[in-house]
Formats: sequence, structure tokens, C-alpha cells
Amino acid sequence: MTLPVEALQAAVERGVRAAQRAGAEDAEVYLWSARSWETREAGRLRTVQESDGSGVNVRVRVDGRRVSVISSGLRDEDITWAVERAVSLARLMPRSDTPWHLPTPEESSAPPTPVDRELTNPRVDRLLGVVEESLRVFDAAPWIDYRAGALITSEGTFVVGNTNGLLAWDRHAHESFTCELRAEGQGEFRTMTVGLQARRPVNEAHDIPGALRSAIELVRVKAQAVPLASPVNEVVFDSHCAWQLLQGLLPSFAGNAANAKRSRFASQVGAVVASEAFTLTDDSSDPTSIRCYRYDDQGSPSQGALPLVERGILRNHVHDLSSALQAGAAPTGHGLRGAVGRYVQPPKTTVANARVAPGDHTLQELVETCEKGVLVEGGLLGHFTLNSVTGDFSCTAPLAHLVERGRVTAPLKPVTLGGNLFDLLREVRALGRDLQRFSRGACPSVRAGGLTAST
Amino acid sequence: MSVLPPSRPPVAPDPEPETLAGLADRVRSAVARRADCFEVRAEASESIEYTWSRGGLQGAGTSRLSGVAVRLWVKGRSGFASCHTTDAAAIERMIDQALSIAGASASSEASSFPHAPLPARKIRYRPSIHGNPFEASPEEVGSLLGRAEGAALAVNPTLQVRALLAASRRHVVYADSGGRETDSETLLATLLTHAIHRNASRPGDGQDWIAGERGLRDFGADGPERIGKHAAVTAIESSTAIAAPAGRHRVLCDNALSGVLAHESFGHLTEYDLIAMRWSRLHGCLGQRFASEAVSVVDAPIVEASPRDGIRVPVDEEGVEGRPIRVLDKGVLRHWMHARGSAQLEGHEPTGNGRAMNARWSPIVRMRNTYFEPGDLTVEEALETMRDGVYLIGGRGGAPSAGGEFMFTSVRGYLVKGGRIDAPLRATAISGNIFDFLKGVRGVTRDFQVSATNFGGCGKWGQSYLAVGMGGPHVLVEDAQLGGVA
Repeated sequence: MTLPVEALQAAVERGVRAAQRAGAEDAEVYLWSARSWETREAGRLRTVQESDGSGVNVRVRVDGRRVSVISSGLRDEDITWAVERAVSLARLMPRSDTPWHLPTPEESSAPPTPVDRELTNPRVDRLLGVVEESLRVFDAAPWIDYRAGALITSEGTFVVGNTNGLLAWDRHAHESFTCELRAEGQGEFRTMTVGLQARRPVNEAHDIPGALRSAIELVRVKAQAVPLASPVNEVVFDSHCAWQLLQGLLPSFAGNAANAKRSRFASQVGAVVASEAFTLTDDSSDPTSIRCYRYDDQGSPSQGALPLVERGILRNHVHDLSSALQAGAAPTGHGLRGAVGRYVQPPKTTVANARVAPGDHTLQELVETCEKGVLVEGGLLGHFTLNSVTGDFSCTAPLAHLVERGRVTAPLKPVTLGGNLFDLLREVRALGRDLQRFSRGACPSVRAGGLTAST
Repeated sequence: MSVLPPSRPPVAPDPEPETLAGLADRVRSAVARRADCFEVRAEASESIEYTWSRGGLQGAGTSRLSGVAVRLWVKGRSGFASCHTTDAAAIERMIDQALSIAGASASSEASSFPHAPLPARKIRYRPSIHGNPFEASPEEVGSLLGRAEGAALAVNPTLQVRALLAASRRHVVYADSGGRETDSETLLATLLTHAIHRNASRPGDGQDWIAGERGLRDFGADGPERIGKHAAVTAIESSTAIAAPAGRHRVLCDNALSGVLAHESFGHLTEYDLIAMRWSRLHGCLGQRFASEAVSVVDAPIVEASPRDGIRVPVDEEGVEGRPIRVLDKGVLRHWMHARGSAQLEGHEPTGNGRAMNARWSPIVRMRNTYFEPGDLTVEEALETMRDGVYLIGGRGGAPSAGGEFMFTSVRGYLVKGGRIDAPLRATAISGNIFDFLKGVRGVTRDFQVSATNFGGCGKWGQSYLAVGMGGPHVLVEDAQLGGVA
């Protein structure tokens, strides 16, 4: 169990008062207390570790000068150090022209997010058992020559208070299971990763053995993989691959990036940025998502479903308190510190839980409407190297198949895909109805053009 | 003196200031006699970051992290736990949890590496810098950053420019049940400029940095101007860059990209935990030849040729002094990178590669500064030897696989025609198999650069991002697959 919320609230109040006494005209004190358990097993090697994470982030404004200071630990001396350091450092800084708005208690009064008690103090033998039981599926597939499983359970509570008297708090608990599997056949390695998350014990929320059996089938060594001999004009992404690529869009929706003209979507609200088939919504109030919260990490309430792109037209950016004030827009509750309430980072304007609207097709139907293309499944490698300024990307699909006249005709050697994500958005031609949930959102399979593919 | 009112009880009472050595001693006393053997690690780290744009400081932030960790062994089974609060109750709970993990693990066939006894020894390290960034005033920092921004805007005043200074320092005190004690402080600082060019039909960006064990006076007399100008020039150039040609080409990888290849596609394959798991295809391959005699790959705790560059790992988080190892020696696989326990398991000498990101984590096998050893060519000679091909610059990261397949993305590049640099190219993917790649190395240059920054690093098993040094010489390859971009 992490520290009780009452103790955290009392410490926040003391921190805010200390900052005021030290000379801060505005202060925000954020305290978190979190704990995680990690079990990892590969071959006959296992690591099990348990760790806590707790700390304080003090953000102050002193004579118009702003600073953020973070310390681990929740002792009074940790909070004192952060307060004193913030105020003294702020006095040395130039005045900032960036506005700052602190929410009031009236803005934050929703009930706390429910958590599963099993995740707040899990038994080590249960964690070990979930991993062992899951990996047992591979006993029936001895040709899989490498598999590794990891179970991570985490829980935490945060409290944020400020000089307006706000004292908002929320908590989180979730569990994730990942498994990497690999098979070698015909000189080619075929790898993929299964990732499952839930707000309750992941083995109860998901059929882990079933998911692993599907993955095993996907990497089953097939006939000789062939190189891609001629250009293709379309790519069909399964939901996993589509999400990996489309995640690269999310920083472009951040209000602070738009304000600073760093985002490609700056001053584009109301403009066509994607094909009509494409709709994207952010929903931090979705209770089935592990990114569900009632307050963001500045104490600003979640605004529920927020359309970002509707039928190809840019509708909104996401805002934290500062970016909203600067843009003359309403805050949307998107001042987040990485994973909700856990990371030792100042809040950033961040999309919380993005959902690509599903279409009407099955993955099979997307393939059937593809004249000549490539079907990529099971995950991409290197998708994160995308340049978020230009949108250029280059990544590899280890599990790819040639599609000709609507039929999968051959497995391919790993295919390298290159393109520009902003151009690709305009080339989204159809979406599947197979919406799959991921840690930061949900996405169906996608058929799109405007890429190069090569082996 | 506390500024908090004394009337309310503290959240986690621990009023006595305590040194890391004192904390480690306290945990050592608490765990003694409860386990067959143990390691205790107490640490404190601090980081600071300044952001500058539009002629002034736009923000500053600092953070510190402290904590303690214990790893213990009972009947050959290990348990690890850590905590950030260090009162007696929290430490008791941490030890109980580590014991409970070791006990629960006993029912499984899977296991961790054994505890490896090492001779009792005391090891101490402190960095040597000029102008401690943690003691510098914002004016001093602003002066450096302003010079970098000014140099970029002098190239083109319409650029969007940001200059950053980031620094981190880490103090680790380690003690084990065999009497080994270490006390090391390390520091890494980065001065970086990023420029975006939007006044073009297509946006472009560029960045450059100086980093390493450096104080404010260790960035060079014209260092800020150099990186500012270079970021600006590359931003403008990248807005006119064309797509790299897809397909197979002769390729010259610059220092940064060759470092990515050495680290990602070959280094990870030689980390012994990945060998023990059978993840790496190099299992059982010690002594085998993988490249010509011109190719050697080194992992070292310090970059001897330029000690301020890269990172310094004088001692790892298992109390082992770092030593350089030639993983690939003249084309032949000679060594694994080892954690303390894995070295014992194999009967090898420990190498000092047991690293943990911070007190929260258990040490695992990690790289330090990994690079190809330099050769004899100049860059001009390498381009002349290549004649026609592609010159790839910078590494944006990518993905290696256990079988040696890799896919990395360059930051930019140039077409090379007739041995001369031609049109600028956008980022492109280079992919292939590291073993084919090594066989195809046609030359290695004698210029040599290794770099580690505060932005990014190496991620492994959730420990992201650990600072590592990457770089080396230019490497000329006969035949490589480029992905191109649309």
C-alpha cells in the first residue's frame, strides 16, 4: 500500500504554506506515492523486483519568475528542500511572459477513479504464477526458440494543491503483461511482442494464453519468405502496427507545441489534415482505459471525450492550464506526467487516451480491397524514430505478406516502410472495425497509400 | 532549518540528516544475518535543465532522486527490493520484501545469477570539471545558451531556435557482505541547440551538441557558436533535402551512426544475460570470426582517446571496477559483457557492466562506451573509395533483433557521386544483418568521436534511459539496404 491520501494531503498543505512564507505568490505542490512489482522471466533466468517511488514537485511563481523543482521522498526535509530550492532558483530567473493559471477547488470535485484492491498489494506468488502459467503455452510450440514474459503491477496515489486552496487527488492501479516471442525459419527471424494492460489483474481481464496462441500462429514459420520484387501502392496495417505509427502524431496535438508553432498542426484548427475516413478522439474519462483519470496532474478536471480530428478536419488541440491560457482556449485536462501520477517529471501537455474511430471492415476485407500491396502484422520495428517536426519516418515490418488482387500470396522478408506521417494521414483509405486497446489509446487496422516499401 | 510548521507529524519521520555511507551502513546492519549474502546500494542523484529561446531563459527545472536498494541471496535464490523513504520501518519492509521474493522464487526452476564473492576493497571516484553546472548562476548558463542561439540566428534570423543545458550527477555508495565498498560520483552535462526552419515549402530541423563529463568551462572556447551554427545550417539544408534512394547501396556511416550500429546491433548481442537467456544468436560463438581483421568493437568504462567525451563508469553498481573489453577483436568474438554473477557462472573475469539506472532498479548487464576501433582512412579517402553511394549522418535510433537483423534511422545524409558529396538527403532507414554488415566493411577511418548526452540513452527491461557512450570512426560498407522515404 502506498501512503494514505490524508497524509499526502496534509503534506501538500504544509508545502504550499511553506512556499507562500518563502515568498511565492503562486505555488503548486504535487506529491505522489507509488509502488511497483516487476517479474521478468526468459529462458531459465528470472528477475523479480519491488520498488517504491515517491516524491514532490514544487512549481512556484516569485515576482513573475517561474521554476519547477522535483525531489524524491516524502519526508518533510524533502518537501522543504524542494520549496526552498524552487523559491531561491526562481528569484534568479528572468520574468516569464508565459501565463500560468492555477485551478480552484470549484474546478475539481469529481469522485476518485476506482482501483482494484488486488493490485494495491499483490502477492509475489500470484505474480510469479501468472508469468509461469502464461509461458507454459509455449510447451506446445517447441519451435519457438525464444520467449520472455514480464508482468508489471503498479499502483499509486497523487495529491496536488495550490495557493488557490485546491486539494485534488486521484489514484491509479494497473497491471501489464508483455511477452516477446521469436522463431527462426528459412534464415529469417520472426519476432513479435504481445502487450496486454488492464485496471485489474491482467490474467483475469484478458485471455493471456489465447493471445499468446494467436501470436504463436502469427510467427509460425511459413514457406520461404521472398523479397518484395516490385513497388506496391498500398499497405494494410493490422491494428498494432497502425497504432505504433499513428502514435507519432500525438505530440502534434499538444497545445503548447501549437502555441510555439513547433507543431505541424499549429493554426490548423478547421483545416483538412487527414482523409475523410479518419477520426481521432481523446477520452481521459474512458473507465476501461488505464489512462482514465478524473484530474490531470495539475488538478484540472478531465473534460471527457475531446474530438481531435473529425472526418479529416482538425478540431482541437489538447491543453494544460498554461497552454490554454496562452491560446485563449479552455483547459482540457491534459497536463500529465508521463504515465498517470507516476513519473518524476514536470507536467507536459500530452494526449491522454487517443482513440481512432473504427470503420466497417474486417482485416480480411481490407486485404480484399487492396489491388497490390503489403499486409504488415504483429508490430513494427523502429517506428519511434519518426521525426515529429517533419513527419518523416522509416521503419521495418518483420511480419509482412505480399497482397495481390485482394489475396495474400506470399510471406515477405522484413519490409522497410518509408514515408511521411502527415502525408499518410491524407492517404488513409479504409479502417477496420477491429478496434484494439493499447496503453495510450485504441486503434483499428488501417489501409493506406503514400508509402514506399522495400526489402 | 525546516520552514514547515512543527505542529503536524511528518509523513515519514526521519529527521536526522544522514550521509549515503551512513545509510548504507544502517541497511547493512539491518540485513546482516538475515541472508546468506547481500549487496546494499545507497544513492542520490540530481539533475538540472535550462531552456533558452527568443533571447532569454524560458525555464529552469531541477530534480533529485535518492533511495536505497538491497539484493540478497538465500539458499542460492535472490530477491531485490528498493525504497525511496529511508526510515527504519521502510527499510525493514524493503528487506522483508526482498526475503519474500527470494523465498517465493525457490519454487521455480528459473533462477537469477549467483552472488559472486570478490576480494574486499574500497574504491572511490570523483569527477574533474571546470565550472560546476550545479553551482553556476542562471546568468552564467544564459551566457552560454545565448551565444549558441545567437550563432544560429546569425545564419538565418527566421529560424526557431532553442538552446538547452542539461546536467546530471549521481553519487552511489555500495557495500556487500564480503567487505567490498565503493563510493563514486559521476557527472554528465550537455549543451544542445535545436533549430527549425519553417520558411520553406517543407519544414526542416537540425541540432548539434557537446556533452560529457564537463563543466561550463569545458565546452570549448567557441563550442556554443559551433553547435549553434551547425544546427542552423543543417535545419536549412534539411528543408531542401531529397528522399534517399531505396535499395542496396554502398554506404559510409558517420561516427554517430557507426556508434549506433556498434551498440545496438552488435553490443546487445554480447551482453551475457541475453546470452544466458538464449536471446542472442551469439550463444556458443566465442572464438568465431565475424569480420575481417580491420574490424574491432570495444566497450570501455572511459573513452581513453578523449576522456571528457562519452560517459565514465569507473565502477559499476555491483562494486566491480570497470575495464575495457575488446568484444570483437580483429574480427573474432573474444569477450562477453558481464554482470558480476554472470562472470562467475562462466568462469570469466568480471568486466564492470552490471549497471542500474538508479536505486529503484536491480543491476543488469549494460553497455558503457561502445564503438568500432578507428582505422587508417581519412573521410576523404573513404568517400573516394566509395565513389558512388550514400553518406549517412547521425543516428535517430532503431531496433536490433536477436538474430542480428537491425533497422536504424539516420538523421540526414548526402548522395555521393564520383567520390564527392552531392545532394543532401532526408532521414532514411538502414537495415540488414549485422553479420553481413561486418563482413561488408571495406574501410574504417581514423577520425574518432564518442558522445553521450543527457537526452536519451539505452533502454533495456524498463530501465530507460541509461546514459551510454556511442560513436567511433566512419565505417565504409560495400552493400547495405536503405529504406528511403516517400
